[in-house]
Parts: sequence; structure tokens; C-alpha cells
Amino acid sequence: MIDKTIIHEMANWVRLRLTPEEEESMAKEFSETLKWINDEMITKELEGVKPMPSVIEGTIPSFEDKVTDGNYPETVTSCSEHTVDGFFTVPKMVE
Amino acid sequence: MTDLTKLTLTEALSGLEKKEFTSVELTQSYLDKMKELRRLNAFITETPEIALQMAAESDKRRAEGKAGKLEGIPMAVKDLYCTKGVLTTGASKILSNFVPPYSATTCAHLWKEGAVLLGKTNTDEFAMGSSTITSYYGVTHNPHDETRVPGGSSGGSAAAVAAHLCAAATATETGGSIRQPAAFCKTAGIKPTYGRCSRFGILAYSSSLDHPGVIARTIEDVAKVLEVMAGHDEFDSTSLNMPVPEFSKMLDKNIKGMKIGIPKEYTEMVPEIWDRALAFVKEQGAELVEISLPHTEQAASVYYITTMAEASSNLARYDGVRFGTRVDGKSLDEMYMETRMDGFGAEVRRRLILGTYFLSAKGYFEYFVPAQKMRRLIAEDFDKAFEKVDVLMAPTVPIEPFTIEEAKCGACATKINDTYSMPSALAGIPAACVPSGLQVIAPRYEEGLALKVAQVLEMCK
Amino acid sequence: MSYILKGKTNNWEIVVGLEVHCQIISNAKVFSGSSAKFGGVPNSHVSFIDAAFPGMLPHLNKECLYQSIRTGMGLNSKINLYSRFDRKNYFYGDLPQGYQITQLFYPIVGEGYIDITLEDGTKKRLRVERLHLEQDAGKSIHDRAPHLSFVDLNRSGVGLMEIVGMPDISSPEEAGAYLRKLRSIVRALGTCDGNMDEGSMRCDANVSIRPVGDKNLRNRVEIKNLNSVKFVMQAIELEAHRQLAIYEEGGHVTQETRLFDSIKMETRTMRSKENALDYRYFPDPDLPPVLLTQEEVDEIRRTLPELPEDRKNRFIKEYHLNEYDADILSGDNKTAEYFETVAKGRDTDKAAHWVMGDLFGALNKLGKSIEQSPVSPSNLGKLLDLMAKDVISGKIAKEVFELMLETGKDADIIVEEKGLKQITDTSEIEGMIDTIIAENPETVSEYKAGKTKLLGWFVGQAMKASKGKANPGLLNQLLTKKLG
Repeated sequence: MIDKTIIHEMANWVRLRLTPEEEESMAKEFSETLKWINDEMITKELEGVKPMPSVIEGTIPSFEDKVTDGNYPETVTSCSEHTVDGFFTVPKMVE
Repeated sequence: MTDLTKLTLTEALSGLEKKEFTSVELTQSYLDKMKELRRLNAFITETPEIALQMAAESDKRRAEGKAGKLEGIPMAVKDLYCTKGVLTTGASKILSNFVPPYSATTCAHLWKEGAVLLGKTNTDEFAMGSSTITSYYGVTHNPHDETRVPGGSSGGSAAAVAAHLCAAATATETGGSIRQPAAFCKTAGIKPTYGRCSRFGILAYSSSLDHPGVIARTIEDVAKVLEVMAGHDEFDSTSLNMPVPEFSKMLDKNIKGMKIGIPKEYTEMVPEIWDRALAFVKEQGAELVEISLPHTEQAASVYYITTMAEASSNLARYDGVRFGTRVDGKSLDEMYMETRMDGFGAEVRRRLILGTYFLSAKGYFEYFVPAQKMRRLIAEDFDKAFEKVDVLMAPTVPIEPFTIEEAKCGACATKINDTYSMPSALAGIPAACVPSGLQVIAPRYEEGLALKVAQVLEMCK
Repeated sequence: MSYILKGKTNNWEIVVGLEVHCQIISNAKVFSGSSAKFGGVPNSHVSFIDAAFPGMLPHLNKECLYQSIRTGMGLNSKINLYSRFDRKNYFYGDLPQGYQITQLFYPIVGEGYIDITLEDGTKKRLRVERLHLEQDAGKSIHDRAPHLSFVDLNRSGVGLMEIVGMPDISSPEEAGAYLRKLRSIVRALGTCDGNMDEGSMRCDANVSIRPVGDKNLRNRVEIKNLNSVKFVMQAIELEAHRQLAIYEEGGHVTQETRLFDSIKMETRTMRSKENALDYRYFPDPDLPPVLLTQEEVDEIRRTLPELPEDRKNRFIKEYHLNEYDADILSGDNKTAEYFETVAKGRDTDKAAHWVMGDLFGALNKLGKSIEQSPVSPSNLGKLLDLMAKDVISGKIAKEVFELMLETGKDADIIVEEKGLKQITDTSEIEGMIDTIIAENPETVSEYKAGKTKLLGWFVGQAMKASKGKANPGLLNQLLTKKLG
């Protein structure tokens, strides 16, 4: 069972917020979905099956160790309105 | 002069080749049509100036004998594809100010072969939806019945193709987002093999399932665009490193002796043409074989878990720091929260929140890993089927397009919607669909085969 | 020597495991083609991939993978033929993707170990759990504006190796030895420059204590921000005593992350948000698994630079050094190279003696590293040659060495210029001896009366007269003869 505390925490993890009512209804809806998934998908058949997180299962391609990119600081910062002296700026991070 | 927008892409190419008209003329016709049918809201951004300039350059190249494979063809691009110097939003408020300094590899391929950019088409926000109603830029209307949705998420592309607002359009599919809108708008399309078209420069929704592809009016048009868009890209580590066949030359309309599988799980709801189509392919010399894809039902769960989980991670980069909109806050976390609350629509927010659960220490082992196991069983269903048959034939969608009102109240769950497309999307295998609402699913790398059989189905009226 | 904390009721031992992040030496970043160089104009070593722009995807730099494998080999570790990248999800201002690409489930390198030797000669094997390849975050600066932090992504995406040690360390001294040994390994392999003060090698320590004899592990505290070997040792000691005080008072140690403050000399708790995170790891769908063949791994091993341990053994065998000297001289590439240049074809004992004694002493005084030594190894070799050929004595050699340090000139030039060549001319020495005998008749008779100890006094006088340049052997021989 998913309760609204879990929903609240999940929202916080992805930096989103819900009203208490939304948390309540989402918890209910999600619990039902998980039940449906449990009934439908979680079967004995899955035992011993290798997970397939991607259909690409061959080896990763790789690059030579050469500098071929970067060196355009103006462009990299051009899409942000929040820059000073070539730095991106954010509200003060407290250590 | 006749209305040039009535020509298929293949006909337009031939007209351009024979110098019956120029790309500028062709492009202008499309721009006029776009203006006329702006009420469909198929485009988020129209780029008439760029289009005419590209068309003029194209005409020049053709005059110099340097014509590319799509020389002078006006195309629309789904707004998930980054286009250098042109607003790219993903239909989200959070990117409503984002002008990328680069283009998607697939777009670069199109421009290199002479295609012309007409504009960026509407989609569900970050492709999350199947009606194009979650777009920050409003709903797109189905050209065949404007009270109905065009499907989604590539609804803008499908509507634009169906209403002749472009010769062809790029699209993306994660679980049905090419085939379902193509069916709703009565156009052709293809979701190729996973990795056939590069994902580099396309906004990510669910990385292991995102398939760039094509929507166009005919299978031949689809084949011509796909063979240009496709190709190995070293900047996408999941890109297929193999030569791209000339799909358009494989369309010989000959299916004699071919074994076509009919998945029994896909025949509960069939379109009106179904029985005629079965008879037609038999007439053409193909053999029909009933087969079973036993894990069809489970695809929805796997899809739900995988897409939401991957999305919750993929969309973390929209944090208001380096691009996109920002709403300030007193602390870093407050800024993130305000920016994302303001920038993402309700459906996106919902999926991101639920997706985190499947990646949590508990949810990962209880749901995410089992889902990936089930994904293998689903993929193996197809492997087994293709031991017996060459391709599969099935309806594209089990339903008729719903009305915008129905879509808004959420009466149409994705679950039913994409039943016939999610399994093949999870397996990463190609599927071509035709305007009459039928699809052909082929083994991995066999887009040519899917297109060839689809073209035969296209002939069945 | 075991390290024991004495409490009122119990004796306590400490249990420490270190997690070390080593920045990989490579030209380009681990998942993009931009420069991995330290520093630079803000956001200049940054591509759209590093800044996590929409639609951007990572691609693997093979060299970073190979550097990790080499380091794994240096740690005597198992190299995994199957490994994979995972995403570690969390939000932070200097983490553009909103996740770090790392390897949780299938790391490239598995179990291994580091052998350490403590000052008293005790040897210990400290196990390494794993090494995984990951990407570094950017840097944020907090002191340039009152309400803003500034973010520079130049470091974002630089390759990192995280080396996770088992909790086998049981004293601050062992922790120091582990780190120094690890540093000498990565430096010898050229996989990381090991500079802790620049942050290219960073260490977190997991510390807990337990009563001696107790087998169960108690709650551990992770200490961050340790940027020197000394700080690591100090922090462990401080933290162990803090925990001791809590337990002795019947308290409970909270499992948490603490920061070390080297000025206040204390550890303090970090804001608890960090402590409650679920990183939501999952396989990165953008990156297929890394499948290596045994042949590929063998080829990397074949071209591996010499490891400190192998070099030490070679020094013992080839140069007949004792273990202690061999350990010191083989520890880092530059020292080993220096020593070998001096020792090749010469008296290796003398070479070791000079490098470890005079040279190290002088460099220490000058505050210079061996690479900055004013005396080149070939020049020190020449000095040794002059001694071996009896051109100068050992005593004069020390004088020449001082001048070499000051001027950087060649040994033979200094000897020539200053006229420091040893006197080997018998008649010249005889002349000096004759004068001394003539001027000191009483001492001569005392000597002749049996006070043979006075020979030393005569040697001293003659040396003085020759300004130290008389060949000592020849002088002795002639004096004995003359004094009869």
C-alpha cells in the first residue's frame, strides 16, 4: 500500500509538490495500479529470467581519448538568463 | 497550377526532378496551407522564412546537379527534435524559451539530403500522452473530424501530414506514439528498429524505448524519408552500427509465398477493413498463420514502469539552471521546486512523481527489475513467432479516435490505446502502419520487409 | 603495534574503511569529447553533453575505462569482463544531468588488495572491495556574491575512479600507509596524479569503534572533506575519540555523514538531508554494457607500467638494496628514475646512500621536489665517479655537492675550477710530511716511544696542510713509513 507520506517523499525527490488532497488521491490511484501490476505481471514465470533494461545488449562503443568538443563557453551559457562572468548562477547553496 | 500540396512526397520529388515546379513554389504552397489550417494547431512553431530560404538553396543545388535524396521536400519536424536556431519546446512551458545551438542527428541527415523545414509540430508534453492534449501549446485537432483528437504523442505530425500541411513529418514513438496517431489521422508511418534512427538531439522521454520514426502519406514516402533519417551515429551509444538498406527499393509488391502471422491476442477489436485485408493478402499469394504472443497483456505494466522510471531521471535536467525557464526561490531547492512546478504540466508531474517510486530502493527490486524480466519474455514472444512466420499483421489500434472532450476527462486509458503497439515497442522491432488502420510487424532490422508488406496492404481498399 | 583506545571500562579498537576518489588522467572527459584539463576559463571545458542540454547523450572514452582497468591491476584486483553504468539520481547545483553516471551493480573492477608496511616493519594486507568508473561533478563557488552560488562545469564529467576499501584498517597509521601506497600505485601507473590538495585524489573515511574482541560492527560515521593524508589520520583519531566518549557515557553513535574541520580540529554533522537520500540507482539506458574479452584485458596487462611493488623487488635483486631503502627509492616514479640513473653502472650502495642522505636532506631543506632538484641525476653520478676514480675524497665530495646545489654546475667543472683534485703525487705528500716531522720533533719522539695513537694527529696535520686534498690512503701509507 502506498500512503500519502510516500507520495509526498517521491514528489520531493523529483522537486515537485502536491496538495494534501492530491497526495491522498494519487496514493489511492497508485496503490490500485500497483495491485493491478502485481496481479498481472509479477508471476512465477519471471524466476531465473535475465532482466532486459535495453534491447541493445552488445558491447558499448567507445571513443579515442581526444579533445574534440567544448571550448565554446559563450554558447554553453547563452541559453541561460542567469549567468555572471561566465558562471551559471543559482540561489546560494548552503554547505 | 494544381494544388501542389496534393502530391505525395514521391510525386513531388518527381515533379521537382522534371522541373515542373520549384521547391520554393512547393514550399510556398505548404506555407499557404499551414496558414489556412492554423486552427488545427498542428504546429507549435512555423518557420516560413527558414523554409523559403532552404527551398531557394535547394533549387540552386538542384540546378547545379547536386540534388540530394529529398531535395526540395518540405517537411515538418516533431517539436521533440532539436533544430539549431529554431525554438524547440517539447510542448512544455519549461522549454518555451529554448533555442538549441545544435540539431538532432536525424534532422542533420534530412537537411543534408535537401529536405526543407516548414516548422515544428505539436506533441504531448515531452511525448507523455496519446492525444496531444497535454501540450502546453493546446490541443491539436484531427483533420478528419475536428472535434476529435489526432492521437499522440506525435499528433501534430500526423495531423500535419493528413491535412497536407507537409509532405512528411518526423515523429517519435515510445509505446505507440507514431502508429496510433497515424491510424487516428489515416496516414502511413513507421516505428523502425530501436537504434535505427539516432536519438542524439531528441528530447528524451524514456531512453530505452524512444524510437524516432516517420509519418507520411504513403508507405513509399515513409520508406524514402526513413532511409535518409536512419543511420549509425557514434554520439548515440545505442545506435545500430550497420548499413541502412535502400528501403524504397525493396517495395516490389510481391508477397507470394510469404508467411504472415496473425497474433490472436490482437484480434479482439478489428477495423472495418480487416476481413477484406486478410482475403487480399491471401489473393496476393501469402499464407496466413495464427500465432500467439502470450505476454501481450503484461506489456502495459512493463511500459508503465519503464517509461515513468526513466522519465523521472531523464527530466531531472530541467532545473532552471542552464536553459529553459526559471522561477526564482530563496534556496536552490526552492528554485528547483518552483521552476518545475511552473514549467511542467500536470501529466508530466504525475509521471515524474510515480516514476521515482520504481527507482527507489524498494520499488526497484519489487517492480523495475521484474518489469525488465517481463520485457525479455515479451521480446522472446516475437522471436518465437518469427521462427514460424516472416512478419505479423494486425490492427494498429483497437479503438476509434476519441473526442477531445473524452480525452480531456481521461476516459481513454493508454492501456487500451496502445495494446497492439506497446509489445513491439518494448521488443524494439520495426512496425509499419497504413492509413486503413493496419500494421505490419517485422523482425529486428527488417524495416524493408515491414514496409514491403505494408505497401501491399495499402493497395487493399 | 595494535592501536587501542583505553576507556574506563573497556579497551576499544577502531574499524576504518576508506573510499578514495581518483581523478583519471586523460585528455578528454569520460563521456564527452571536451577537455579534462584542470582549471580554465569558466565553462570552457564544457560541451552540450557535459552541460546536459536537452537531447544530449553520453559516449564512452575508452582511455578512462582502460585507466580504471590498469588501476585495478595495480590493486591486484579481479577485472570484470562484464560491467555496466548506472545512474545515481539526486539534485544539486553542480550536477547538470540531475544524476551521476557511475557503476553500482556491476563495477569494472572487483576485489583486490593493497599491501602496506608500517614504520616498525609490520606488514599488513588491506582488502579493496571494488573500483568503479564514474563522472565528476562541476564546481560551485559560494563567496562571490551574497545570495548566489556560481557554477563552473569545467570539472563536470571528468573521469573518476572510486576505490572502495574494506573495513580492514585499524589505526590512523594504517590509513596513512594505505593512502600513500594507493597514491604511489596510481602515480606509477600514470592513472591519477594523486594530488590531494588539488582535489584530484579525495578521500572519505568510514569510522566505527568496538570493544576489543567484539566481532560485530557498530554504527559507522562517514567523514568527508579530507584533503591530505595528515587530515585523514587526524580525522580518524578525532572521530574515534568522539565515539569513545559517547559509548563510555552509555550513549549511541548515530550513523551519519560528518565533515572534518582542520582548523577547529573537530568533526561535525552535515545537514541531515544528505543522510536521508535514496539515490534511486538504475542501469543507464543510454549506455550499453561494457563487454571485455580476456585477450583485451591481457593486452592491457602486458603494457602495464612497472608497479611500485615489482620495482621494489627488482631494486632489491638488481641493486642489492635492503627492503627499507628499496621501499623508499621505488615508491614514486621520479625518485625511482633518479635513483636508477645514478645507480646504473656504479656502486649501488653509495648511490642509494647519496640519494637518500645528502640529496633528500638538501631537497628537504630547499623545499623542492626531486623533479626540481638543482643537481641532476647524471651530475650526481659524475660526482660518484670522481670519488670512485680517487679524483676526490668523500669529504671533498660533500663540499663539491654543496657547490653543485648552489650553482647547478657539473661536478668535474667545480673540482677543476676550485682546484679540489686529490693529491696523489707521492713526492708532494712526502714533502708535506717532512715539514710536519721537522716542525714537531717532540711529538715524533712520543710516537716513536710507543704512543702510536698519535698517527691520527699526524694525518690530521698533513690533511690540513693539503687543504684536505691529499689522498687519504696514500697519506697514511707514507706517514707510517716515514715515522718508522
